[in-house]
This record gives sequence, C-alpha cells and structure tokens, in this order.
Amino acid sequence: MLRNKQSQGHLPGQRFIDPDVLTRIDNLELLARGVVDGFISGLHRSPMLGMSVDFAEHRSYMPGDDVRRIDWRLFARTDRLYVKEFEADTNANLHLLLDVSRSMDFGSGAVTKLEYAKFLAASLAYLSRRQRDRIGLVTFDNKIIETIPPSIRHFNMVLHALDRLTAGGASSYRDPLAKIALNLGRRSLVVLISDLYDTPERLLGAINQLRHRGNDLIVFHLLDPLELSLELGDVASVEDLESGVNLPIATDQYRDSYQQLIRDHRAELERRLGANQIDYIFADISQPLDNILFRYLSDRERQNRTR
Amino acid sequence: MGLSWINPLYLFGLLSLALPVLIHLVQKQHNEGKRFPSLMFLQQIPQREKRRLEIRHWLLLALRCLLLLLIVLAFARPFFNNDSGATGLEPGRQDSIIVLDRSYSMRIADHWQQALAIALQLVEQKQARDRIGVVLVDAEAEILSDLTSSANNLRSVLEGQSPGFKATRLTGAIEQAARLLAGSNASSKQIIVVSDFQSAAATAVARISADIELTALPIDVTRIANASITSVAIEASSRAAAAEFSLTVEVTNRATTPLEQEVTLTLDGREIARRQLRLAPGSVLSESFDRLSVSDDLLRGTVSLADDALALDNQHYFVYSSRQQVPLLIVEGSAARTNQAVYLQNALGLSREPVFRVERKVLNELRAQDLPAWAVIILNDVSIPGGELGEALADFVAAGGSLLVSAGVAEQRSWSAAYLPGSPGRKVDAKPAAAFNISDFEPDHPLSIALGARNTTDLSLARVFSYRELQPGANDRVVARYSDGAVALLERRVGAGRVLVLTTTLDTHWSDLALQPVFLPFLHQGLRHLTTFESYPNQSEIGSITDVMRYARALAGADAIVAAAAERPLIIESPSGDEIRVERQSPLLSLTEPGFYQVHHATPSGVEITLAANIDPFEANQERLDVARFVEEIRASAEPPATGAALTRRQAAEFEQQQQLAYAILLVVLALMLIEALSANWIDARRSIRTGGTG
Repeated sequence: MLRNKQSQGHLPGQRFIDPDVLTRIDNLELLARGVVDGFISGLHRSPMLGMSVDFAEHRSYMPGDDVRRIDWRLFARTDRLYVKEFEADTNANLHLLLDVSRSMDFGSGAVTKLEYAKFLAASLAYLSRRQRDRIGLVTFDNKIIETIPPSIRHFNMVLHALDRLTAGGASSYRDPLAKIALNLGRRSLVVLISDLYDTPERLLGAINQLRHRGNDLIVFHLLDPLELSLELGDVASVEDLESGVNLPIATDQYRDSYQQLIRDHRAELERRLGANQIDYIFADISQPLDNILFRYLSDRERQNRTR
Repeated sequence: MGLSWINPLYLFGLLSLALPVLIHLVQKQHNEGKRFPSLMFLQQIPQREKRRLEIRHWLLLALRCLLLLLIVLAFARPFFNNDSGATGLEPGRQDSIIVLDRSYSMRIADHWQQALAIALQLVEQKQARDRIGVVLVDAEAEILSDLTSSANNLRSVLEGQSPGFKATRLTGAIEQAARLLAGSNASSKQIIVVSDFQSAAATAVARISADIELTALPIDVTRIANASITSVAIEASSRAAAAEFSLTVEVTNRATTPLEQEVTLTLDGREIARRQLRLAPGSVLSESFDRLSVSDDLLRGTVSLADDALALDNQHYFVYSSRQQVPLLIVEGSAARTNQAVYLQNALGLSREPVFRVERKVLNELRAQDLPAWAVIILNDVSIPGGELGEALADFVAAGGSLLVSAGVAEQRSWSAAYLPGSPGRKVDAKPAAAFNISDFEPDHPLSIALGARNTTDLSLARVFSYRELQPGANDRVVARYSDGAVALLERRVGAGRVLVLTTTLDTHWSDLALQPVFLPFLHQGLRHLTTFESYPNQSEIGSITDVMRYARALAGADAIVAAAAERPLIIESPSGDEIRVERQSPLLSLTEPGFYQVHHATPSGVEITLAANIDPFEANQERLDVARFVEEIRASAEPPATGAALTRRQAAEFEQQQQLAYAILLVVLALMLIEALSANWIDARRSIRTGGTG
C-alpha cells in the first residue's frame, strides 16, 4: 500500500513512498521498480558515448576502431573513412559501496539504516539498469565483505547480494576504500552509502582515494532520527553497537550538546566533500526513499546540464 | 525503659527491604541495555552531569526503603516497656490467684468461714505492688476477680460470696487460674487453693506452668455424724394398673459411728411413709416403698432424713408422671368380631416402656373434639370415618398424633389420601392350604432396625391368609411386603405425625400374626416408632443443663410441639422462688439449686411441668485427699513456662494505651506514601513530557 506524504523542501505535489511501506515488499526488484518508476523520465543521462540508436557525431577512423562502426555511405560520398558515434546511456559503471558495519544495524522505526541502505542501493541499481549502466556492488565494514564487479548482467546478482546482507563488524573506511579504489577500472559513478561515523578528516582521506581516475562520487549519509535527536528516554547508559562499550549518560543533559555535535559533523562533511567535488546527500531514514532519490537525480541532472 | 514488640514476628518483614533495591537494580539493568550505533559524539561530551541522576534515584530508593521499614515497624507494634530487666519480668512483684472452694460441703460447720478468713488474710498480707485474683470453684470455675492490686475490691467481692450446691472439681479451676497467670510478668506467680480437699475433688491432674508455685491451704475439717441419701430409684409397677410405682432409697452413713435415722417419704406434700433405720458406720442401706399409686398427673415426691450436721444431703426430690403412660385409643366398628381387640389389648398391656394407657371405643361413639386426648389411635379394622371426624383425624395426625390402621374386612369408602397412605383395593385370599408371609422388610427403615434381624425372621413365620390390596402413593414408604410382593406395611409422614397401615387384621381372622410370639415386639416397636416416645426424667443433678421442652413433649405429646412454636418465653420458678425466663427456641435450663423447678404454662393446654433437682451426693463424702501428694503430682507434671511471646501478648493487652507509637509511625507512613507517590508521578510526568515533545 502506498501512502501519500508531502515532503518538505521538494516539489509541491510530489508523492513519496514511506519507508514503512517498503519494509512490506520482500522483493527488492519490485521495491526498486515501485520507487523508481512513475517519476523517472529522462532525468538520468550517461555522460559517456557508446552504442545507441541516437546518433551523436562522425569522427575520422583511427587505427584500432571497430571496422563495423565505419559509415560506408559517407565513405562512398567522401571517399574518407569515418566512424559513427552515438550518444549512449548504457556504458557507465555504477559502483555501489555499502557500509554494512554493526552501527548500520540500528533503527528506531520500521527500518534500520542497513535496510534503508539496501532499498536505496536496489533503487539506484534499478535506475541504472534502465539506463543500461553496468552495476557493481561492494559491501564492507572494516574490510571488504563482498564484491560484485560491474556488469550489465549483474543486476540480479546485486539484488541477491543486497537481499542476504547482514550487519558485520566494526566500521573502518580507509583500508576498504583503498582496496576498492585499486579495483575500480574505468571511470565510474561511485555511490557510497554509510552512516559515516568517523572524523571528517579521516572520512575525506578515505573517500578521496576513490576520487582519482575521474570517478564521480556520491556519498549518502544515512542516520536514524534517534541519532539526530538522542531522545532515548530514561536510560542510565548506552552501549556502543560496534564495540560493546557501555557509557553512562544523562540524556536530557547530553541532548543539546549531542545535537550540536551531529549538526557540526554533517555541516563539516557537506562542506569538505563539496569542496572536493563530491556529492553529499544526507538521508534521515524516517523520510521516504523516493524523496532521497528525487533529490539525487535532480542534482545529477543539474550537474549533467552544466557539464 | 526499653522498646518491646507486640508482634515481633512481623520484624521478619524487614527482609522485604530487599525488594525496592532489587527492583531498582533490575530497572537499572534494563536501562543499561539501551544500544546505540556509535558513542563517537557522546564520548566527546563532558561526564560531570551523570551523578545527579543517580543521586536522585538513590533518594527515591531511600524513601521507599524507609517507607517499608516504617510499615514493618508499625505492624510489629512497638511500645515502650517500663519494666526493667531483659526478661520483661518485674522483680519483687508477686501475682497470686486464690482458688476458693465453694462447693456445698463447705456448708458443713464453719468450713466456709474458715476458707473465707484464709482468703481475706491473704489479701491483707499482700504487698502494695502484689496482685491477687480470685477463682471460685465448685463443679465449675468462676473468675470472681482478675488480678488486681486493690485490696478493697478483693475484700468486697469475697465478702459477698457464699457456698453453693455443687460438688468440687479442682482440676479445671487450677488450670483456669494458671491461664490467668500466664500473661503475668511478675517475678513470682502462685496459685493458692483454699478447700476442704475432699477425695472426689480432684478427678485428674491439673496441668500448670512450671514457673507457677502451687500452694494448698486446707481448712480444718470437722468430722460430722452425717447420713445422706445417695440414690432414689423409681420403677413403674409391673402390675396391670399402670398408675402404680415403687421407690428404692439408698441411705449411706458417712460417719464413723452408728446412726439412728428416720427416712420419710412425702408425695405431693403428704407424708406417705416413715421408716426407722439403723446405720452401721460407713454402711449403705436400701429401703423400698412399693405400690405407690398416683392420683394426679404429675407427682412431686421427697425422700428425707432427719436433720443432721449437713442438712443438704438429707433431702432427695423426684417427680413421677402418670402421663408417661402413652394414652392409646383402640377404635372398633359397631359390629366388631368377638375378640377383635383382645390380642391387641393384651399385647399393649405388657409394654413397660412406654406404658400404654389403653382405652377402647366404638367408632360411632368417637367425637372429633376427643381426639387430642390420645397420643396414638389404632383403627382396628373399621371403615375410615369421613366428615368432621375424618377431618379431625387428619388434624390429629398433622399435629403429631400417631395412627395405626389395620385395613381388613371393613369396606373403605372414605379412605382419605390427605393423611392415609396408598389407596385400598380388593381383598386377596391365599390359595387353599397356603398362606402369605410378611417378608421383604426395608432394611433401612427404623422399624426394621428396631425389630432386628431375628424378629423380622420370626415375623415371616406368621401366616397371612387374606390381605387388603393397597397401592402405595408417591410419598409413601413401603416397610414390608408379602411373599407375593403386595404391600404388607405402608407408612406415611403427615405433618408432625405418622400413619402406619397393616393390610391385614390384628386378630386371628385373616392371619395368625396375633398368635405368634413376635406379635409383642412387633406391636411395641411399631408403636414406639409411631409415637417417638420420650421418657420423663424423674430427677436431675444440679449443674446439669436440661431441655425443658423434653418434659413437655413427654407429658403433652403433640401439644408440646405446638407449644414450642409459641413466641412468649417459658417462665420457670426456681426452688427458691426466683423467676427464670427461657426462650422456647432454645429451652435449656441450668439447674443450680436443689428442689422443684416449676414450668408454668409450657403448653397451650396448660400442662404444668416440674423438674426435680438434687445435689451430687458424693460431695458429702468426708474422705480427704492426700494434699501433699495432690500438690506434688501437679508440680511433677508442670509444663515449661510460657514463652516470652505469650508474656508479650499479655502485656499487649495491658499496654494497649501505649500504642500511640505505632499510630504515630503509621501517620508518618501515610505522609511518606504521599510524598513518594507525588515524586514518582512527577518523575514520570517529566519523562513523558520529554518523550512526547519530540515524538
């Protein structure tokens, strides 16, 4: 069942799907289709040229070019060898980097951050498949858990991998991202989905490893509303999900300081990532998923136009 | 001055103090379990504010603990004990109970004066702090005064006493005194028995606590030349004239010297006989008075001896009622067979208990208003009357009268289902040279039980040649059947009365039952069952409790049953002329003095009832107990002293007025409960506001 919800700060009348509803759909493809279909229409375009029906331009034949791509008609008219180039939307690589550390396995509402991340990744994968992009997936905590190399045929593998994901151990960004960076082949669209529990300096250091080779980077920062507000009720202490460390706290006295720290953290990340040409999208997991996607796709479209 | 507890066991409730602590811990553990994705930011916040929360919780915990502590203390009921010493005993104080014998043997010579003087002397000699209580003893123990230090009060209650008419039973009185002392916290406790210590006074060894000192103070007994009437036996005469009876008097010489005595029998105030007796020392003589005729319904008799040193045991009272003879009417038809009632009448004349006063009437001569004069009516093979007489018969039965019907030759046209069981049919004859037997008795029926197996077997030997068919109704009980299964005896209860129908004749016309030896027990038991006979007690002993209406029932039968339902109380005149009122619903009278108790208007027909009360003759026995042995036996079997808890219970009664401490604690508890509830609510409200504000 779809629930209408007016989201703040977006197009009036835009309809989004509540995360609660998504939890009831056990088929990730169906979920992704439900989220993506209906409002996606030509927003996403690949910046790469490739095989397509839409003709882009002719260029001179260079040794090594595929002989099949020579425009023989033009050769007959001009007696020169040209190859046809088409505007393609099928040959981009999409790398989904999913943080599956223990801290992601937290949610005060219907979904945990990890589940939300799954939905988001599935939706992005589906979106890319419509564009015939190659889709790959890497899950990691403090090490790489699973890698699916990008391929146009790996959509179902990615969905299966997402489906059986479980939270792992403690989180670390530097080493896993360094390894991923080594394995990134051609220029790719790299999407990092995480709760980003690390200092902005270290995070930026880790993420910047992916920045070279002309990769486009998008960072989705997922947080539960409770992580934003610290409304834990009358608890004497809290236990770290990852380390198991117990910390006595007085939530009512801690709350303001905590919220300020979180705000500062987000602002600092946005500022630093933005400065490095990395898209930063913050997502409150109580907010509809399509809302996030809409923002993401709007941003991508804007960037493509300016490119 | 120390703090003592009335219910110290409640102090175990202090263990409940662990509850709030446990709850607090459990709750804390529960709160500690809250998991959070990362402490990265929380660890950056300074920790200084954490303690305030814990202190506040500790305050709430302390408040709850204090609350429980105070509740437990209040339930344990503390009080400030002014007694010194760890044992709670008050040193130097002595509590004593004087057990004073007031049995009728104390009337001999100056026995009572001696005993009273000893008791008064004990009161005079007591220290100001000492307390004394008094228990009067005869057949019962009566607490005359609880422990008191007021000598004046003790003197006044003692001087108003006099010996009674009952025998001495010391055991119960000593145990009663021990119970009075059980709660005492005096350092010294004693029971002082002042008595003439007759041999019959101690029937069992009294059980007292070992911390109680028992002292026996026997009075100087004056040996007297005394003869007493120890029993009077009355027996109805075995002669046919049932209004005669005989009397056997037993006289005992309790002196050590021979005695010349004169025994006089007085009936209804008229001296009937006077006999001279010569009694050897310690001997018992029986004197009989035979063929005493009764002219009136109820006879008052007195057997007396000439006055001696103890006059009380020289009189013995009794009553004799000719109405113990159950009035019975045999009704016959105007054309009765020869000897139709002869067997019946002869068999009834041989009954001793009850004695039947038999009358015969022809049915035509019977009037409805005469019926209540009889307790039992036998309709001996007559046609059941209808009309007014029939209704009167029904009323007679309903009011408690008994009816025995022999349904034989007579034609039954007015057989009324209202009070007669079954419905009669045709006459059934046995085959020539054959007969029916009465067999198949219902084993649970009272008549079968009363007859016994042997008699019922004998009854089956009687030969019945003809019987009248009788079809039993739903409410009828078949007591016996013939050998062919037809009803032989059928019973119905109507109101307070019973009707029994025999379906053959009571003479030799239809059966040879009347010729069988078993005819007598069969008839007597049958009538006893019908009348539910109660004998009239001729004499009772002082101290016993008597059901007055039993006498009325024995004398007036159905009339007494009506009388029992009346609302006005029974008025009884005691031998000394006092008026005693007793409720009819529980007509129990305690006999306290010798002589005749007169019950006026016990029944609507004005039947006068008299009860004869006599003293226990053994109290006049002058044999003495071995006092030293008596005391030693009680000491030897003494039980360990009462526990401290028992003492405290006793003190609790005394120090009830000091309970303000417990009440004050309860007030504080109430105030604390209010504070606790408000605090907890306040904390809850704050918590919910915080949670709700961000939801």
